[in-house]
Amino acid sequence: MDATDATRTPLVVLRDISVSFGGVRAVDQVSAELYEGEVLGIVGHNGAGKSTLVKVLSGACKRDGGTIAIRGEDANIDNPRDARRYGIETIYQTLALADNVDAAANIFLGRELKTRWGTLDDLAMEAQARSVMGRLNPHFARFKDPVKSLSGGQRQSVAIARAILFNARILIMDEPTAALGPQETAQVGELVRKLKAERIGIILISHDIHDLFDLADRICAMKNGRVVGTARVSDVSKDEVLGMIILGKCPPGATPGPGAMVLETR
Amino acid sequence: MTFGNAVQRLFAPSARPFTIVVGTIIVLGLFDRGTGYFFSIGTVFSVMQLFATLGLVALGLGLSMLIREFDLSVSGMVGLAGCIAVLTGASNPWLGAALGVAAGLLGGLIQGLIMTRLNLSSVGVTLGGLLTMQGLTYVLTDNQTISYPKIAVPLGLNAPLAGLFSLRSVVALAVFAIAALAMRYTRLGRDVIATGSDRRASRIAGLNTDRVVISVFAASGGSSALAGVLLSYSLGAASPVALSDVLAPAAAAAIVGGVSVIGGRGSPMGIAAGVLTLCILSSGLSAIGVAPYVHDLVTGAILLVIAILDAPDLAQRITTWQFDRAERQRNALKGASS
Ligand SMILES: Nc1ncnc2c1ncn2[C@@H]1O[C@H](COP(=O)(O)OP(=O)(O)OP(=O)(O)O)[C@@H](O)[C@H]1O
Ligand SMILES: [Mg+2]
Repeated sequence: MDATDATRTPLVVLRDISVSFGGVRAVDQVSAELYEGEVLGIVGHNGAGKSTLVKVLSGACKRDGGTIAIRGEDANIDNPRDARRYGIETIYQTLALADNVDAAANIFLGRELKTRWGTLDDLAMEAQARSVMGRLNPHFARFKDPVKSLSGGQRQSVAIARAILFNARILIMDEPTAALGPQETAQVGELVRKLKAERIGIILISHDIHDLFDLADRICAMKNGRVVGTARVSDVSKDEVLGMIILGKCPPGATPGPGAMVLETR
Repeated sequence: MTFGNAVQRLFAPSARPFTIVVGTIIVLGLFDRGTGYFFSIGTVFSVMQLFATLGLVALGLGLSMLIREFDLSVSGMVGLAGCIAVLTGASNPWLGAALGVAAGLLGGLIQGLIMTRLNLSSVGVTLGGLLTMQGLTYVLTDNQTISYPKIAVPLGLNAPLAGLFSLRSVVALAVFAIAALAMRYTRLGRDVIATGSDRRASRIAGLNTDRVVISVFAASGGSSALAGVLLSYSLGAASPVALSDVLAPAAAAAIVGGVSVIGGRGSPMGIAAGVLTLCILSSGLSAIGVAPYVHDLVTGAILLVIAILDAPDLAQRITTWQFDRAERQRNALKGASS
């Protein structure tokens, strides 16, 4: 961490976040921070608790403990609409699309544009949907069909378009390219760089370590609901990150979390 | 193949209700064979009278089905609102009507609040609502039929307009028109479809689904209450037992009208077509002298066919079968030519 980071107020501070489902501790005392213009990568095995952690920040999941601070102030995030008020936009792993309405309607779900007479402004919504989709997936043309009939990658494009249309300050991307082709994936990578340059804070969950080393500034590794360690990508190697994910072994270049395996010193 | 396509298009979920209503008219017309029992102004008038009551109830129930809920309280609302209107409207029918409809809106609102605040399913809550409303109706009427003193009101409501309609059926049609416009052009309408297709996804995408649910149940209560008010006023009486059996036909009408029982699909115009189908069957079959139990048989058969048409892999099985048949024919041709 360089000197500027230590003095700057983080955009988001998650402190001791815990979530249980029945007896399962999906997220256990997780603390993390995100700065403006930074990409924080979150990695971990399937079921490590990554999605659950970010859903707490996006208001989609209730937490059992812990606090959230945005720009140094305690934030009350109890539902997804609260999160939006803080400028948090989310691309969910499950995409969160309503199947029977079309792409434009999905993009504007819950904040539909209205005409002077209070009716839906479908033309304006479609125009904006087209322009944002143009930055993302120029081949996309099916704005009028229910998203039920779209392909997996097209659906993912709709979910991404929704998250970037509304000037997010904090963007959560939960495996945003899992269904995308190589060209579309590259385009999302470009987009991440561009948004980062606009000083947006981005949390990026991915299983692709190479992509993460390309895009992220720091990486936070989780195992069994706990943070193993957090490190700047320049301070660790890909193998060391894999070691954190698989073995829970925190390398010297990373700040250990509560989930780090305690190593006996020889 | 083109014939197959046309049939497929006619029975696609969005077109199906209209195909069925037209088909019903054609079939009954064939039975009529020019005797004029079915094709008469009188039949149209009586269909529209039935439509006025069943339509408004089916609209309310259908709206709740659109968001994948089921408002069982609609029939209780019809009775309760009718009694309130007759009891409070003795000197001023408008006041009675307003109070009756307000009771419906309030009843729906309360049920919606209970469901969303406590995260309960509509079946339990509205079943409770149904019994509560029926109980209230018994208390209010003291289990007696109460007659309405103003004779002019039933006469005015039922007087034929242009031969085909009455004030009552025109009001019902107007409510359908408003509902159709609201579903198509307002934010709430769009949000109802989104909520119905995936409540959880819509919620985490930032939609206030609780508000949608509450609004739908208020609308459902209001619409059923209006049906009850109009019915009691046009009968000139309210009775605690009248029309407790409107629930099943209303659900049938909504389903024939293309409302999907799994939510997210359907429209007020479709529901109107579904209601018309049921009303035409009922008055049309009576007009051509068919025994009443046959109505239920026919309605039941239509519902079964619709349920089967909605089977998820039916279309695929038919396509597979068509492919297989084409393949067999090709092979047979090959065999013949070689
Ligand atoms: N709604 C739920 N109900 C019960 N358990 C849940 C629920 N959501 C998640 N879990 C459990 O919480 C744990 C963490 O799940 P989560 O989805 O956060 O994992 P993840 O790290 O995102 O995994 P993946 O890489 O597969 O997306 C898992 O054990 C999962 O089974
Ligand atoms: Mg996940």
